[in-house]
Amino acid sequence: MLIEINDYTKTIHGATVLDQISLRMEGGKVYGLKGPNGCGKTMLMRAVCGLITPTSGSVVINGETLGKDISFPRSVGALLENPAFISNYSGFQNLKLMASIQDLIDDQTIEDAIAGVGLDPHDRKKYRKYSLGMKQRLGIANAIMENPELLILDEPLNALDKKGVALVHQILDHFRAQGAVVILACHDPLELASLSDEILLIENGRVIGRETPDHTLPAVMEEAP
Amino acid sequence: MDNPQTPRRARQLALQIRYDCSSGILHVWYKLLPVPVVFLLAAALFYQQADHFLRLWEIGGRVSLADLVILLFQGMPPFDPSTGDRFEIPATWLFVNLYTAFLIGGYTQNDLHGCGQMLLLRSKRRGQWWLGKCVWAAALVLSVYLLAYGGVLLAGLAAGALSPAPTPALHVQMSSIGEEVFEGGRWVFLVMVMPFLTSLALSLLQMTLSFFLKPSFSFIGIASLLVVSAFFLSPACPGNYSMLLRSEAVLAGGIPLWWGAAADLLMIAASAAVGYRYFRHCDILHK
Repeated sequence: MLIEINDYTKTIHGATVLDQISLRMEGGKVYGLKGPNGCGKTMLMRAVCGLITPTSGSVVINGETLGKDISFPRSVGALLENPAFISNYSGFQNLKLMASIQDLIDDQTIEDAIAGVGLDPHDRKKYRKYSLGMKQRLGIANAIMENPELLILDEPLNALDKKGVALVHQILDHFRAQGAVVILACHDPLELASLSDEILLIENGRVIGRETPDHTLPAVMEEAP
Repeated sequence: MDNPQTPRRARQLALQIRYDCSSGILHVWYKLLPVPVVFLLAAALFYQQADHFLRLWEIGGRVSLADLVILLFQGMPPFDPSTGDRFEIPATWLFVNLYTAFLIGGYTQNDLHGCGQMLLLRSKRRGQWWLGKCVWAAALVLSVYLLAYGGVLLAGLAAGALSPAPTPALHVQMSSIGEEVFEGGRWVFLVMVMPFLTSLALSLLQMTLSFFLKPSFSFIGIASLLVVSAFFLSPACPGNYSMLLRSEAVLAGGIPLWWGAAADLLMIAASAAVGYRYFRHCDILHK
């Protein structure tokens, strides 16, 4: 999996929310996004998901340009905003509905994904009775269950307890080993550092630098070929 | 050569439609309850009224189910302030249209920022998402009208008014509707099909507007259009298309039937097309 973001700029109502971003993201790595509120982290995630279109520039995923060759990444799992499911369905029923669209996985895989985030796959409790932490876990399960090549997690640790955080670590290790590109944002700098292989520093819609968990690299913009 | 993707796309579209009808109608069934209740009560009131006039004018026969439907869905005659008459609110007409607009509400926007977004990332087809919403709107409007008829039917059962045949003489006297309206079942198109078509057209318009305005403003826009339609007899006011009493079949200088039907169909097609075209390229941002 290879993602190339080429000079990507997005302007909304006259405000530049993403400013000439150029990045190259390779499979097998977790990229953390770090920056103050409103700096463009979620917007960048939406750009990679195909949910927004660029004012200029492009996102190329495995050689295919978003908005031109494909509307959305071919293999993507995402947790953006607060998870939202059908309130009268159980967790399993909700994920089964989601899985039915692409029909890539069976019930056992869905159950494994639910169990993998620490929920009971046979729990018949309706989603509307879930706690915040349970909702978050189900949202993560929804994002990972089809084993996507691109995994995008916006604040995945929200409302999770220590066990839940540990599970997220395991999940990211799995996707790293699978060669997926993982992009995540987390407001806790320590957790972000422990989860990420590379941290992108974002300010005012621009990538101003990179960090690895051990040291800080100079603020060099890497241009895609 | 057959496209091997076609069965998969058809299946995904069917799933999208099933999802929308489930989450947007079946799972919120309680929101539809007021419709049959209101129409049950209204039908009971109209039955009393119609039965009184049948006796008063010695028309003979009994109030039928068709009579109740006509009375409830005929709308109101044009309002002329110069006569000094009070403006009588066409309560059932206004209720069915306003309540439908309320049910349409923010469903599409809420879905786009919730479950629907996750479905969209999986189906990867923006057009399919929009088409699902259009089908949902049609199913919702149909549900509203069927429930309204259900309420009327219950009232008819209670009153023994079950005949599907109208009593033309009653409507000639009560509402100045000519007997020719009842020939060949023409009244069915004017009283049952046109109101449904107009409600559907307004619903799709509202859904498309909610791409550009907040859902609450879209609702206000449609509500305003309905109120203006109640006050003014004009082909430019779509609410008139659904009122039998403003049709040229009943009123000299009224709305031509072909105009109302064509305008509704055009509104449906245009709203669906504009929504499709816009949504294909629009940004899906945070709510």
